[in-house]
Amino acid sequence: MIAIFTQGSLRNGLQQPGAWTALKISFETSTISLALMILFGTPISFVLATTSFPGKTLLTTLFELPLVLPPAVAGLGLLMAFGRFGLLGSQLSALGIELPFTKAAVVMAMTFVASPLYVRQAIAAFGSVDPDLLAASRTLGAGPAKTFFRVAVPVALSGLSAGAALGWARALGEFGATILFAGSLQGRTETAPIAIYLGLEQGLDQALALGALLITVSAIVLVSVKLLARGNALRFMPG
Amino acid sequence: MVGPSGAGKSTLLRLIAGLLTPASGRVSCGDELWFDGKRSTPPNRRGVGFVFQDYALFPHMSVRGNVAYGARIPVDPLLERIGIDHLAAAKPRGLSGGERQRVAVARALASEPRLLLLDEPLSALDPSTRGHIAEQLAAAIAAAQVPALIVTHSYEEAIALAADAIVLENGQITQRGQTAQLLRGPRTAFIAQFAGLNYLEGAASGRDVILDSGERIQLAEQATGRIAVLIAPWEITVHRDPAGDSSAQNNLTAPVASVLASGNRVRLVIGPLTAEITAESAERLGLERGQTVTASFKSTAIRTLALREG
Repeated sequence: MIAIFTQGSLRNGLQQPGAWTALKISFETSTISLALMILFGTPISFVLATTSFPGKTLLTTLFELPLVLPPAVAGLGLLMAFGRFGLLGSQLSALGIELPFTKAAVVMAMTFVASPLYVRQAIAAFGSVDPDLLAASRTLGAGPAKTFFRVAVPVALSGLSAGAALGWARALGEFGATILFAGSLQGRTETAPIAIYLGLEQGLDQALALGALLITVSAIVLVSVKLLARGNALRFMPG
Repeated sequence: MVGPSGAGKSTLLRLIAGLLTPASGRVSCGDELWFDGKRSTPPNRRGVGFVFQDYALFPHMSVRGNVAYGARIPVDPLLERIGIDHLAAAKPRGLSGGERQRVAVARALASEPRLLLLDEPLSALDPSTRGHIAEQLAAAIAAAQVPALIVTHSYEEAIALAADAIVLENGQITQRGQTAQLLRGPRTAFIAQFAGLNYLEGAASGRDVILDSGERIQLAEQATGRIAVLIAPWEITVHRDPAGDSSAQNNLTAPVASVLASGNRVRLVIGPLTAEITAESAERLGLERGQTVTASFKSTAIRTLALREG
C-alpha cells in the first residue's frame, strides 16, 4: 500500500483526463448500485430475517451465492444471460434494449457481486432486533409497513449502514464481472479499477494515482464501518 | 392468570393479541370475532394494549415518542397521570426498571385499548420495589377502566393486582374464581403451593393419614386412598415443649431447618412443614436453627385434596 503512494507522481497521474473520467464513472455506477441494493435488499433481508417459510434456507443461499462465485464467472453468466446471443438476448433486443458494454451493465455487474454483502449484513442486523419491538408496534395499531419503517429500520440502522458501506466499497472495487460484461470502453464503462489495469500499459502514474485514491476511500469506508459497529453486536464478514 | 412456567400463559396472551395464530379455535372480544379458524384479525386492528415482560420500549425514541407512537389520546396529560412527565425527553436506556414499566403501561393505554394484556409486568423489577410498583400499577389499571389480563407468578402480586384469577396448567384452566379464594379451596398441587400452603402427600385410611415422609396426621373427616394434606403456615403453632398444645390433634417434633424473617413474620421450616409465626413469638421462644421444636395444628385446619392413583 505504501509503495502505491511512493512510487509515482500523484499530481502527474491525476492530471490525466482519463483518470477523472474513470473515477466519475466508478462513483456514479457504484452509487446507483448501492441505491438498488438498499431499495431491494432491505425489504428482502427483513423478510428473510423475521419470517420462516419453506425453502427459506435455499433462497438465502441463493442470495449469498455471488459472494463465493469468482467475479469472472459472474460476468460470464451475466453475458450469457443478457448478451446479444444470451438466454434473454433476443427478447431484449426485440425491445430495443442492449445491455452489454453499457453503464447499465456496469451497475448490474456491481450489484450482482456486491449485494450479497449488504443482504448478509442486513439479515444479521434485522435478526438482532428484539421481535417484541415489532410485536409492540403491531399491538399499538401499526401495520407491517409502519413497523418496518418506524421500528425495524431505525433499530437496525447501524448494522444496515455498515452493510451499505461494505456493499458500496465492494461495488467500487468490482473488476472481473465488469470487464467481462461491460468491457472497458473509455468514457463509458471504464471504471477506476479497470483504468488501473489498462494504465499499466498506458501510463503508470495514472494507475498509481487511482490506486492511491481507492486505498484512501476504502480506508475511510472501513473506519466508518468500525465506528458504526461500535457498541453494536454486529456479525459482518468483510469479503 | 397464574400457572407454572411452561403452562402456556404467555402463549395465551399472544394468541389473544394476534401475535401468534392458533391452529384452531376461536378468539373473540365482546361481540367482535378475532379468529375463527379461517380468518384472523391482524394485531393492529384488535385494539389490544400489550405490556411485554421486558417492556419492549422502542430504544431509538424518547419516552414521549414511545407513548405517542400509537396514541389516540393526548399524550401529555397521560404522561402526567402515570407520573412520567418529567421523563418525556429521556431515552428508555437510561430509565430504571420501574420507570420503564410505567412507560410501557402508558404506551399501551395511549392507544385506547379495549383490553389490556400484561405479561409478568413486575418480574423485571427489583424485589424491593415490587410491592410499591404493584400498587401503582393496580391504580393505573383501575383508573383506565380497561379490562386487564395479567400474567404473574407470585401470589402476593396476584392478590395486589386482580380480584379474579384463572389458573392455567399444561394449557388447561384448572381453577378460576376470586384470587383470595385460591387459598381457601385450591384444587391442584400447583395452586396450593402457589398460594403458599404446606402441601404434603400421603395415604389416607379413615381419619388417619400416613405421610410419604413417615409422619402420621389426623384428619377431621374421613378419607381414603392417596391424598394431599394442605395446611396454611399460619395455622401452625410452635412450642419448645414436646407435649405441645393439648388442644391440637397433630403434633410433629423435629429440628428447625431454617428461619427466615419477613417483616414482622418469621417462617420456620420444621421437618416437612413450613410454619409462619409472629416475630414476637419467635423471639419469646428463642428459636434458632437446629433446635428441636414441636409444630402443632388442629385437624380442622387441614384441607385435603384427593390425588389420582398412581
